[in-house]
Amino acid sequence: MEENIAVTPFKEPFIPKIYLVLGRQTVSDKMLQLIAALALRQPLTVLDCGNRSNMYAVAKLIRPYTSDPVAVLGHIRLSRAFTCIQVLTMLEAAAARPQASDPCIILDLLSTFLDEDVKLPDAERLMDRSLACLRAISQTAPVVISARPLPLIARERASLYEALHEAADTRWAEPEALTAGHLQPALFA
Amino acid sequence: MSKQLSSANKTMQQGAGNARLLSRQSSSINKTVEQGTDNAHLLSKQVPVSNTDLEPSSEGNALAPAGKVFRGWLLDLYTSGEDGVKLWFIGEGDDVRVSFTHNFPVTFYAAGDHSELRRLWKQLQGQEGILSLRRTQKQDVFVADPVDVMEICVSNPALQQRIFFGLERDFDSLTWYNSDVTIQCRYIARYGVFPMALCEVVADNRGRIQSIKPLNSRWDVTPNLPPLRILNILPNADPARSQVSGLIISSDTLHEELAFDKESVWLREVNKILKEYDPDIIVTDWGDAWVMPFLLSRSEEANFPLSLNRDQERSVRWQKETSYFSYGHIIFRPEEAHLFGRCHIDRKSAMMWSDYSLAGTLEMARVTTLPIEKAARVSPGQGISAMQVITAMEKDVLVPYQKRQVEQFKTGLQLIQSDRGGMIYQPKIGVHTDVAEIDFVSMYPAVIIKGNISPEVPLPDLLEPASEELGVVPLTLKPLYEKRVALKHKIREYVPGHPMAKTLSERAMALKWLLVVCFGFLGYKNARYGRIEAHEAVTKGGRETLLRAKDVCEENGFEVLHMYVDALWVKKRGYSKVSDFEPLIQAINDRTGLTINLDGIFRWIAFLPSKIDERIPIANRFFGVFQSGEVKVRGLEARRRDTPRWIAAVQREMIDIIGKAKYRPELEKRILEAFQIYQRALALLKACDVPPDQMLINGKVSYALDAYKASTAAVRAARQMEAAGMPIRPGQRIRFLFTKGEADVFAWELGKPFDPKMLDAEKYIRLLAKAGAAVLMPFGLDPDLLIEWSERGHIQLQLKEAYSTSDLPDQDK
Repeated sequence: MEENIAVTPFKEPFIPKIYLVLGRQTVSDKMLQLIAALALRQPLTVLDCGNRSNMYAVAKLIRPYTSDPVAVLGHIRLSRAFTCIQVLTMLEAAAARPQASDPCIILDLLSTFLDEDVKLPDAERLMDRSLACLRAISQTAPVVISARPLPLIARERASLYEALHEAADTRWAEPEALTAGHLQPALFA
Repeated sequence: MSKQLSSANKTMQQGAGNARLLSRQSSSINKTVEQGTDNAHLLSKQVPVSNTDLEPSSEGNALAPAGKVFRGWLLDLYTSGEDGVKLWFIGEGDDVRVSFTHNFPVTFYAAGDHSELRRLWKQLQGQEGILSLRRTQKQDVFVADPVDVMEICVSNPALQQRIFFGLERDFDSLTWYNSDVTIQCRYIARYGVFPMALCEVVADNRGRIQSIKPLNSRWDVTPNLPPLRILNILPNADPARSQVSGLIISSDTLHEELAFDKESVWLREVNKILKEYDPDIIVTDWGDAWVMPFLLSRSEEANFPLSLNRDQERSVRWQKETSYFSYGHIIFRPEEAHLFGRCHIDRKSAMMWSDYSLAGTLEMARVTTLPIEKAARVSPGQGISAMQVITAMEKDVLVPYQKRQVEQFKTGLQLIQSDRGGMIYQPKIGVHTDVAEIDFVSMYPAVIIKGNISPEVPLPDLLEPASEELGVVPLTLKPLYEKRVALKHKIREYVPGHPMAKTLSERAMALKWLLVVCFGFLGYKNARYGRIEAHEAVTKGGRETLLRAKDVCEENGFEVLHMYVDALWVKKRGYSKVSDFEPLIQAINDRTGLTINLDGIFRWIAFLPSKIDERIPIANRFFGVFQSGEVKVRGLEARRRDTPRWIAAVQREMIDIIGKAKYRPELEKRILEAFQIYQRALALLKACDVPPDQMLINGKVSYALDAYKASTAAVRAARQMEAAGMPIRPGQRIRFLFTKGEADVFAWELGKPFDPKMLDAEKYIRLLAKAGAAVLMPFGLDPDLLIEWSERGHIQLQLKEAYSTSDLPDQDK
């Protein structure tokens, strides 16, 4: 069962398990808010799989709450991956860290798996191995993963999305945009 | 047969829709799948060949001279089954075309868990074509110490590809090296020969190479090149727009116009030309999409084989169409027709043809070792990649199959500090006189070489290298950079307009593109020798260089008006001659260690503000006139690909006329003339008196059409094409017109007649007004007023005081 992220914000405190956040741009913004909120309190790891880690935005978010933004930004341990092979390598390295308990934020996990240069069976195999790593990490640390809905062009890769969905313990989803028929009429139309 | 085009014979005419029909027909042609030389699964379209149909072959000269030394230029090289590789040469003295084969075992490597390597060894041992298996140590660029690898030697390249693709599936945890290197890269790494290299070959009496060596170098500035036979085959109309009724075939010795006829006489004539002239390069327009499929389908229908390939054992090879990302854009590359023993270049598919033509294409092939056909079509990035692979193989460094290295962990602050682009210093809005434009010669490549920036070596502190031995990337770039500089010097030996100057410029342009992409390639996700930290180190070095240059300028009393990544615009009152700026150039060279050039001195230059807020300057949006009279425009409509040609031409004409003003009293008159040009253009537009093909908008669809929720004009035009049965691919360019009525666009490629009265004049007036306003605004005309005046009239246009023309001289200094 997915909870509506517009109504239910991220639940805290996080416990070690896999959280999946599904949605478009607003979810990217919420993930940056989450990174900022966590960084104000503790170290965390950010694995960016879709070039979404806008640290300028994070710096702006933390600024009203700290007199030492440099130290807070120093709490964020970040690496970016640009191919699904790199995503797997990055997750294997993270899983190999003994007993790491810092929250692990994974941005836009599916992005690189939609690369059409990577054949679907290869992408599925790499996704399986990546999910195994995520499960290992989630034994000791909360893992929050964001993903965007599959674009139409990648609809034949729905199995990747389903596998990720299946692997998550808790799921939050951005609500679908209301269609014209469901919009509240304007008072002064 | 009549060599004049005949419009009478309609039955064989092919038109717009026929291009699509042909592509469907061609799919019914016998297709066989074969392994390409570069991992691509290539489809081969074969026309059934009947020996009785074959005319006496002009390819009789394709027999290799046995058991003696042969000298000639390498034209083509490809895998040839158990023979290894096949090479085609142009004879040095006797103008013959000769092929040889060369036994060419290839080696690749696997690393990983020892138990997996053991399992691999068991699977490969005794397998057909495996010549040897052994354990050894090799250098992986991303690992400090040599790695243990299994070396697998296979009898020929074609078999190696088949074996590897099977292994990759079965042993997915192993790391593979040198497994997908193209045959061209392997061959040059072993023997040093490359496309258009003059070679000395010793072969046995069966045409098998015993030894081969190059007699010249990729880096020769004035290489000894072969006399090429180039045959142009062009349809007599654009197949997408109108009926093609014949082919125009020309070369240095012939010019024929062949009209299509029922009896296929024209086809026999084409074949006769192919056999008698025996071209090295066939140049076509729409060759991949129309000419080749058309020739093959007619050849099949008439049961008359065409000698398109010089290698008679091979059929035309088709490389599948593809869409890919490049620098933030989706690019669509249509299906490609490749030949064996000679080359086919489709000018419409040749990515950079308009920039560097055939001379640049051959230069690209020489330095990158890409086959000529491929060098003409692919982006320069693939050329850089091939060069890096060769450098690595020459250094005996492993070539990774898939890059696994990820970015080292950074803090949030470190990411902010490192993930930056080039330095930009916003321009001072307005018109300025006697401004020098100085820019660094190939700045980023120079920073890479000077700073020794490569993924496998320690990164520099700003511009000072952290290690002495050059890494793979700078080692690849250094000769390229030096060759380009040498070519630029060579060009100066000729007067402008000299044919040799043109050829040298095209070659230099090809090298420039390679140098331009090398920086981006460092950060490219699939680059074998890419690393994001190295990419960031280059921009950091660039920013530092520009800041040092700015310091030098200001220390010497110059005002810096604008800086943009690798260029500065500077002025100093009373300085207007080249010699005035020479000490400054020298001082910057000394301070940065990089070469900076004076591009020219602007008589005047106008830096433009934002269209939305005229107080905000916009980087790299300017126009101006050099003292030579040459006009330079950046960021204006005239430079944009999606501006209708006619509007771009009007804007360019307005700038040219203002550019003629040398002195202040002349300026007002010239501005008035420019405005008159604008007025005339506006009148033509309002009278719908502009040819529709001059008003085409060049749009693009970046995604599959069903992925669009909101449709842009280009998407709406693409949907019209799709509805007419024309397939649309992501990255495809769509030409269209804005029209009146419910369907507010007209897809040009539909090929239907168009009534100029249907043009949406209002939209085009707005586009014209924006283009005109950009030119007149720096001289005091309010752009919003001009737009309103153009659309509605009845407004008094007023000239404000120009931003700054007070220092334009009253008379000649």
